Amino acid sequence: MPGTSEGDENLIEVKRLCKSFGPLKAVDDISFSCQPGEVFGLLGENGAGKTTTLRMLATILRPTSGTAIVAGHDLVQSPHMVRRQIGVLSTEPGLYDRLTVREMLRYYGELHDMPLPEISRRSEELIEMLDMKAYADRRTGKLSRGMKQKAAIARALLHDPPVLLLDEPTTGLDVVSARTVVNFIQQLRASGKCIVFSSHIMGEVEKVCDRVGIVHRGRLVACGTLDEVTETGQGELEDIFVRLVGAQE
Amino acid sequence: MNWRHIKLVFRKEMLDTLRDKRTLLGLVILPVLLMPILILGMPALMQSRMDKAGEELTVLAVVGAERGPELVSWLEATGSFTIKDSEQAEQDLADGHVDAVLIIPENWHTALQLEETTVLQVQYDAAREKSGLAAGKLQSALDLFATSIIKERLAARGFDTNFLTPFHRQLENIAPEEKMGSTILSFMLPMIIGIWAALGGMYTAIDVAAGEKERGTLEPLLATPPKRSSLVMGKYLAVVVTSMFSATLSLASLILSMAVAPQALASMGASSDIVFVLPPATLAAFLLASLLLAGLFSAISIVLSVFARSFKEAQVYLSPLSFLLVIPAFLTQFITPAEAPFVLHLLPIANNLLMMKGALLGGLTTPVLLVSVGSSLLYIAIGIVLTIQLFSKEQVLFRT
Repeated sequence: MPGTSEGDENLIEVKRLCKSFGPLKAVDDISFSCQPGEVFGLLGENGAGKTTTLRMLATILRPTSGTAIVAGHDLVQSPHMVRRQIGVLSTEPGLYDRLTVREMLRYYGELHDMPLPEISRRSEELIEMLDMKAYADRRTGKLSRGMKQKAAIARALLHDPPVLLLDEPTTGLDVVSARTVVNFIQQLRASGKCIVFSSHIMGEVEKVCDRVGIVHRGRLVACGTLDEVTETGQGELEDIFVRLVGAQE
Repeated sequence: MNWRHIKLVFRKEMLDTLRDKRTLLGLVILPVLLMPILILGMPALMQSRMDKAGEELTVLAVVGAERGPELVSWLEATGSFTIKDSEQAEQDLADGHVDAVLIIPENWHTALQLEETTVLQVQYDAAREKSGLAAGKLQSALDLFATSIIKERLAARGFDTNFLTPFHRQLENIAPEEKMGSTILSFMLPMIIGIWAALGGMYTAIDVAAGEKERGTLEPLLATPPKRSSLVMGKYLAVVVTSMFSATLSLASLILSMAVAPQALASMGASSDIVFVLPPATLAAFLLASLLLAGLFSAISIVLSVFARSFKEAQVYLSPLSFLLVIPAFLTQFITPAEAPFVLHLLPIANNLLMMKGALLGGLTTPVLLVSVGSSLLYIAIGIVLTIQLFSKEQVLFRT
C-alpha cells in the first residue's frame, strides 16, 4: 500500500477511506499516514476529493467505508475522542461576526472543556504569536480577510492539538497573508505537529510538505516524499501533476 | 447531552443575538412600541372616526322638495342634515357631492291627505362609507317622521298615543366589571401576545442554524467535542428565551398601557365602567401557556432553519409560520375553554391559545390544564428530537 510506513509512530493512519454521495464516489479507497513533525500534502484540483477527505478526518463527515486512526483513536468508533486531538482550518475562516477575537477563542476553548485560566493563557500566547494584539478585542466581522484567517488559526491551535487538518488555508488570501500562514505551518512542523495540508498551489506544497499525495477523482494517484514523486516522473512537481492527472482523463 | 455544554452554547447564542441590531428591533423596540399603539391608538382612532361620522352633517339632495316642504323642513330641524340644491341629484351622488338623495313622489301630498301608502325613494352609494351611514340616518329620520304622522292621525280620531307603545325595553348587564374586562382581554391577548411568543425568536432561530451554515462556522463547531444534542439544546433554549423575552416585554408594555389609559380599552367594550385586572395567578397561567407556545414554535423554527441552506432560504421557510398561529387563533376565537370540544385541548397551538383564554377567563380546570401542558410538552419533545436528528444528518448539514 503506498504511503503507509513506520506504523507505531504515525499520528494519522488513513485506511482505505471511501465516501460516496449517492452515485458519486467523492473519495475512493484513499490510504496514507502522517507522523509528528511531518506535513503531508494533499494535492489536487478543485473537486478532487481533498476537502471530503479532510472533513472525514475532522469527524464532520462519516466515511462510507474504511477508517483512520488519529492519535490512537478510531475515527468511526470514537469520533468524540478524535475531536480532542485535532485542530481544523479551512479556506473559510468561519467566525462569528458579532464576537471579538478573544470572545471567539474563549467559546472554542470552553467547547474543548479547557479550564478558563488555561484558555486565557493560551489565547494571549497565540494573540502574541500571531501578532493580533491590535485587534483582539474587535468584532471579527470588522476584520480583514488576512486578520480573520489568523484568528481562525488561533482557534485551531487553542487546545494545542497534536494533529492539524488544514484545508486550502491560503486560498483567497493576499500574498503577504498567505506567506504568513505558510511560515506558520513550517513553525508548527518544527514544534512536532502532525499536519495534513491540502492545496492546489504547487509552490506552497513544495515549500512545506515532506510527503505528498496527488488526488484525482477521489483516488490517490501518487504518494510519497517530494523526491519520490518527482523522481518517478522526472521533472518538476507541476509537470508530474499535469501528467498524472492528464493520464486519467 | 451535557448540561455544561448546553449552557455554554446557550450563553454564546444569547450574546450573539443581543448584539444583532435586527433582533433588537424585532425583540425590544417593536413589541414595546406596538402594544401601546395597538391598545391605545386603535380604539381611539375608531372612536374618533365614529364620532366624526356622527357629528358631521349629512349632505342631502331632495328631488321634488316643493312637493313636501313640511318633510324637508322637518329633516332640517333634526339638525343632522343639510339640504343641498341639486340639478342632477343622481350624478352628484355618484360624484360624492351629496351623501344621499331623497325623492319625494308626485302624489306625496294627495296620498297623505287620502291616507294612502306612497313611496319615498332614498338613493345612496353603498361603496362610500359616509353615504352608507347617511342612508341609515335618513331611514331612521323618516321612520320618526312616519310615527309623527301616525300620532297626528290617531289624535285626530281621538285615540291616546300610548296605544302605539305597549312597553319600553330595559336592558341590564349583570356581568361584574372585572369579568367584562377579562372577556375583552381573552379576545385580544392570546393573539397579540401569542404572536410574540411564537415568532419573537425567529431571527435567533435563523441565525443559530442556517446562519452557522452561511457563515461557515458550522464546520469548526462540529469538529469540537460536544455532542450534537448539546449543541442543539443550547441553541433551542436561546430561541425559547428570546421568544419569551419578547412576549413578556409586550405583555408588560400592554399592562402599562392599560394602567396609563384604562378608558381606551374600555371603549371597545362600549362601557366605560369596565375594569381590567390581571391577578398573579392569571398572569402565571398565561405566561406558562405562552412559554409552551414559544417552546413549540422555537422547535419548528429551528427544524426549518437547520434544513435551510442559507439565511435567505430560512426566512422563506419561516415567514409562513404566522399562519400556523392565525388559523388556530381564529378557530378558538369564539370558543370559551369550558365549552371547547376536548380534542381542541390536544391540538398543538390551539391548546396553548385555549389555555391562555382559560387563564384570563378563569375556566381552567385541572384536567384541562394537565392535558394541555402534557400534549404541548409531547409536541415540543418531538420537535427537539427531530432537530437533533436533522442536525446529525450530513445530507442536511451539507445540502448543496
